[in-house]
Amino acid sequence: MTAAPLTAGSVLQQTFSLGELLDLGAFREVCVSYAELFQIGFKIFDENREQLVDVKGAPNDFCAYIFSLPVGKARCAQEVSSIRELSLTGPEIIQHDCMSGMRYLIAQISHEGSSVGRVVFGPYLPAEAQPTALSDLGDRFNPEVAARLYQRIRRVQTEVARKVVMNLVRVIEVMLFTGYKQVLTSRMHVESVTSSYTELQEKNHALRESFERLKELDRLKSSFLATVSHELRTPLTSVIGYSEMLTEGLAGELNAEQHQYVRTIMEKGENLLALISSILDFSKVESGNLRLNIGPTNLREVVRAASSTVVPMARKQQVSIDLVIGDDVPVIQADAEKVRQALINIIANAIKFNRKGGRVVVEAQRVMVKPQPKKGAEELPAAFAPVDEEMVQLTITDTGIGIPKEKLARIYDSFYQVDNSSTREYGGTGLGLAIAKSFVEAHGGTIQAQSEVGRGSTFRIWLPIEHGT
Amino acid sequence: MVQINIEQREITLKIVYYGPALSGKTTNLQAIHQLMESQGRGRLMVLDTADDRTLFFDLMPVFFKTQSGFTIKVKLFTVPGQVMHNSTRRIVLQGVDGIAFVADSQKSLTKANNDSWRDMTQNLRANGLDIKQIPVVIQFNKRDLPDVRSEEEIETVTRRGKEPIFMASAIKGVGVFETLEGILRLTWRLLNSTLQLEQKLHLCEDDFISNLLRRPKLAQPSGPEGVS
Repeated sequence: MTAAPLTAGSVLQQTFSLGELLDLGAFREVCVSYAELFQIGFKIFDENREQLVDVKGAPNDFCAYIFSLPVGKARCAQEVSSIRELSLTGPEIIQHDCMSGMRYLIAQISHEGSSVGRVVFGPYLPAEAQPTALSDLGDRFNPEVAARLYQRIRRVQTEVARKVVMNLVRVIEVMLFTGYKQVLTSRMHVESVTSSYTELQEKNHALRESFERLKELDRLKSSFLATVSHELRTPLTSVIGYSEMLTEGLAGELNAEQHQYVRTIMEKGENLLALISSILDFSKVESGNLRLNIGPTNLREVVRAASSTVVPMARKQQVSIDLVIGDDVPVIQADAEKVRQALINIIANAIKFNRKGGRVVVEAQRVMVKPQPKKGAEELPAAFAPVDEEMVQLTITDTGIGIPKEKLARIYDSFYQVDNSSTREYGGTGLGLAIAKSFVEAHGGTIQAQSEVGRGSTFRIWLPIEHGT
Repeated sequence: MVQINIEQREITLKIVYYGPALSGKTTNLQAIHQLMESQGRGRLMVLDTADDRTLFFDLMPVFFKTQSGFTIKVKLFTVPGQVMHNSTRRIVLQGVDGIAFVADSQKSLTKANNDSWRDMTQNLRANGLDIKQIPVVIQFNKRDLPDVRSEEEIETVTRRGKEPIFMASAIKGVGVFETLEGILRLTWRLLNSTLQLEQKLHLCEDDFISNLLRRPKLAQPSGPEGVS
């Protein structure tokens, strides 16, 4: 069974020849057993008169004798050729008697109402046939031998022969239907999968395009934020500066009420400046403009500096800060300012979301860290796994309100706060952790948080000792 | 698109039964197969899953030979109704000459009918075909079920559209021949106007229909329920 090429449109629009719909090897076996059963041979031709099957029936000495004569052979060939070209117009069986009185039955094979081939059944000797006087078969022809062999031929009633042919045609048509069904099923399967794949590819392409567009919009947004923040900061610095001068009495003494008002202007101005600075930092990270000034960084000093920055805030909240810095904490290659900022953001959170009389512990130690498993790494043999890495671990533990488990995954999202109402209670932009995470990751480090509601949170930062490792 | 094989003197048309899942497309073909004279049709090919849901399509050819010796063949296809088989539906619709849309009459399935119709117009478009250029009839099937849209209601809305409507209960063989006749007539008219088949084949519309839809005398079901 051979199918037309896939490029020729859908299989549903194609027509198939007899040979394409049948497994010819298996089909010939069926034909051979038919011929053995009925002792009569037959041929099968496709619509282009190409012979697909030629099976012999019981040995027929009479025909063999005629065929052995040169003239007889030529006339037999002529008979077969004319039978092959006979015009069939419908399902009716046509009979054709040859020169010797032997008979052929010819029947059309149809598929879906179209002729796809023919069965040429025979020759057989009809039961009612009378010997025919054979002539013009050349000098070697012996009528007595022919007559003797003729008497030996097994006779078949034409009605029986017709039923055999009808049955054979029906069997072939069922086989054709089955073959066609098989071709359609397998080809439709391929066509459907191909079509779905193409559709999926198109959708993927459209998605990729819109993703690229969104990325570009996001970059524009960050760039816009950076510009606006910068432009806001400049006049705000003046507001704070002049307020400061006023409180210091550079423009004359203020009375108590005026002093209080100007101090409020200054404090709120400073809050606003801190907010704008955060936005500016963050927009730099988002727009990919974050630059690290890598150099030898003494973490001991950085931790102390970060902690002292937030001491006033801690005092106000009545929260104590303890530093535990291991002796083996090395000098690392990092951007000291960015590390300090990341630490400040996390410690400030630890203070802000703490309870009165609470505690914040900042620890620094040198540790061996198992590398984070990368995507698909589980498929690799263990021998390919990266070795443990020496890093510095900074741990910030608080005794605050904690973060619910289901919200932990979102705490690094920009402008996100676990409890919206707490934004007002505790203040802030929701940018602190997002910035801290970006700064840590820019160093090739990682940040992780664990928390228990009501008991507090622990943030761990791992920073590589050598930058770029 | 009608296939014409001059050498083999054969014309093949393609009619597709479209519609939502479980609206009775396969049942239509089964009823036609059962009610039609066996000489005028081929075997019904059903490509379904173990739970009798159409996987690719069903196919049944109906045919006859004209007096001038031309074989007229109409291949009746169904599409798989389940949403996930959209690509198969699109392939089956390729080169369609006429569509019988089998809608489910149950009120609760109005949305499914609408979705399937939209899906059909999209798939036609994907094949470069325009719903306005293709003959379509609509069959409201399952008239024997309770809670169906009333005939009056359907008639009222039908007047606004151009598609002929047929009422059917395919499981009982009611209305299936009328639907098929409806779509065959529309398809013949369109092809005749473009290809002058009547003139070329010496075949009129009524002969085209009566030769294709031959039924044994005893198997006549009750009268047509079509409203147009």
